Amino acid sequence: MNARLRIDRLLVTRGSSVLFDEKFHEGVNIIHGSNGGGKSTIADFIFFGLGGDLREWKPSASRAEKTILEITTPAGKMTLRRDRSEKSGRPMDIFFGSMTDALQSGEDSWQTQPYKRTEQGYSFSQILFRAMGLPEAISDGSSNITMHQILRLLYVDQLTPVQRIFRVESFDTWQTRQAVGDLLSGVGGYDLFEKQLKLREVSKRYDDANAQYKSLVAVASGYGEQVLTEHIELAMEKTKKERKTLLGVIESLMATTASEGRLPEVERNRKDAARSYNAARKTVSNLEEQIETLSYEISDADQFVDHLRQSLRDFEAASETFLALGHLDFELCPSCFSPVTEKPIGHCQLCNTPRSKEDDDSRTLAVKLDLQMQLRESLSLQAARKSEFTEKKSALRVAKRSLQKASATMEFVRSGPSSGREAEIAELSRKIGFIDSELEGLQKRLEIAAKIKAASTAKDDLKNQLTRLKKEIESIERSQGLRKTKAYSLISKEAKKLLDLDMAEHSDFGDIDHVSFNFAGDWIAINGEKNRAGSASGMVVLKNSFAAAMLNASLIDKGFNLPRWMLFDNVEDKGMVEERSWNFQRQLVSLSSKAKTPHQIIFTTSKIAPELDGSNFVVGRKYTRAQRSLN
Amino acid sequence: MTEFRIWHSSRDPYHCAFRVISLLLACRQSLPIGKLRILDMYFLYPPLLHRLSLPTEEKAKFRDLKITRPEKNFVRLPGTASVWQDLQVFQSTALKQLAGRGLLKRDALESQNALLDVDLVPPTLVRRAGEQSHEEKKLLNFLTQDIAKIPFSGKSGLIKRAGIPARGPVQ
Repeated sequence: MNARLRIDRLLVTRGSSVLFDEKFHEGVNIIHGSNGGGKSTIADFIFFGLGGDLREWKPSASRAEKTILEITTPAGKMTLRRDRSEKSGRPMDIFFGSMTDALQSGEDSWQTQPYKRTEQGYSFSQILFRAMGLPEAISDGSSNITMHQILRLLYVDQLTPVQRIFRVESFDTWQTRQAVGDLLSGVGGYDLFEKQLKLREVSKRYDDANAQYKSLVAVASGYGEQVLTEHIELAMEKTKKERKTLLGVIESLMATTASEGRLPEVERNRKDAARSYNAARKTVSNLEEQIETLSYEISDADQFVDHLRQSLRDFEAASETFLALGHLDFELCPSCFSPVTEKPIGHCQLCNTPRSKEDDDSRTLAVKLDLQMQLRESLSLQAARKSEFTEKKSALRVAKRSLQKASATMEFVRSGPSSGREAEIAELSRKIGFIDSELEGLQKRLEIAAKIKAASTAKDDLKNQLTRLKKEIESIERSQGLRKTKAYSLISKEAKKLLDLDMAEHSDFGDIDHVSFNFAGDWIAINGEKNRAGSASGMVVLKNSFAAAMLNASLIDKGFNLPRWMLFDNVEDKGMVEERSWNFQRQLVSLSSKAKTPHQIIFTTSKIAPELDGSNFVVGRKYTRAQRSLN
Repeated sequence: MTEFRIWHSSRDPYHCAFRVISLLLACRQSLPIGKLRILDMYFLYPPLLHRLSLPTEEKAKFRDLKITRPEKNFVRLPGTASVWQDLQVFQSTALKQLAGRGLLKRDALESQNALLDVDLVPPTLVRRAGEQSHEEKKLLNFLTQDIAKIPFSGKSGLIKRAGIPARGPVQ
């Protein structure tokens, strides 16, 4: 399936006033007006509405508050809403359906999605990528490719220096440019990008595991050489034996000690011991209770996660059945079991809502996204629960040890000495107390040693996963050389074709042997010369032709992920004579009319070709300084 | 707060159609419609099989499937008869549409039997049905090879064993 995007309608509002409202169509869309009429403002709204990050707005745009776009994607119609802002990284509200329905629906039918991806949910870019049929990609191991990044290649604006391929940006890395170029050219695919995403996730987990391992080792090394579980267990065994012997001695002393009246301090000790014992018992029982609750929650959540996974699989099977068989109509209402009366064609036979393929598709996407988000959220909550469970288990072991100690102390005091050989017994008790605290320390060290062992295993596992993923990625990257050559050659060929059609009398390109380019380096070259000192208008033709060539390549070759959509702002920039601009406009119209793949081209011009003026290609009226695009 | 969209396979005629296709593909022969409906119910909710009284041989095979008991299953299920009743309308819709689209052979239907015309089943669905998980495949085999052998009605028939009303919906 081809990746696809089409803008159906753009609405710009301020409060209840409509500043701009026009419908767009398949193929070529021309926004026409004189300089200063607000054409670029519209292009900016489209860029921003689709998720571009725009901080420097044209002065005329400052009145606008909201931009609302209706788009059609392979996953159906969607309506996107963003509040105009100078701040970067603004969120997007998404309605899964047409703009008409969106405007009639309450606020609760919109879903607000953040600019950046989150641990549990999705960013709007992730949702739009899924809807458009683009695989998710990462650029350089740290950041994902966003709508903003792909729009840098799909929106040819006026501010970017003419020798650049990408819309200019202050923070920019060659990795991002390369990744966007490769993504849209279809170099790599779901498999590669999924593995890259996994690699990043595993790398992060490996770093965390490594840091945890190091800090545990650092803590453990403070205890001396005994860091291994076996050593500590041996030391504990020895200490316990010693304790037992001492207890035996006390018992035999006690047996020969006559019972005398209890002294007040003995009474006090008794009370203290009982208090500590009760406190320790309470801690243990609280922890046990919490662990029990948590383990119920974990097992319940595990089942819920399984259920969600199964539901997702079932849902996919159901939507595939829907795709393959078409609508299945009920004869009896599933709610009241009465026979369903026949509804007009094209309406839901159950609830009579008019239906269209796009609406069905967008609802399908929405349900699937809901299930996927629920699953992500549940997995993340489950991970938190499991780590809390481990912590509590460890705390319980320590608490049980304290309870044991408190219990032993109480035992002494209850049956303990009151006179006679007190000194001797007290001395022995003191020794036992010391052994107990030693045992407590060993228990803590044992916990740390167990944690070190677990962290080390986890670290090794992750390391293995990392190595395997890296190898798999390398192998995919090696084998994708063919695709790269094919896609890049097609773009070059199409660019040459378009440049050859440029008007000879205005062109300063000379004979073009080949057009080369580099996404990472952000340059285009004619006959290998990338720093051409041609006329400014010639460079505009080069830049526009290259963008048009990418679009055309995607219309010819299904392997491209470019969503068959391109936005050109002011095709006659930099003082181009009108005939040359008309020539380029005609090339776009001809390219569009020859294409067999659905697509959309939007361009703005102040010098519209005479035969295009007043044609169906034009969107809206002619904008002038006196009558700007925004009302 | 965003509105939640709730979806469950038991209330989706498309999923029901997919289950029916999966069952008939696994069965590779015709199945009486009533029996097919029962198999579909157990394919959708395997834990209900614990409440089905099975002959000794089948019981042993069922144990091997290691299916969760209904009381331990995540989705709490009412009695088999209630589940059966709820499913009827979705099964009727799916079966009628499959018949209407010619996926179920007409002559078999005349004798209340469902037989898949495999050539007419869209290849995407055949492929997806083939991609069922290992557990689902084992369950499909058990349902279509072992349970399907048990007679439909009568004293030791499926209807009686499952504890569901014999009177089904109008076909």
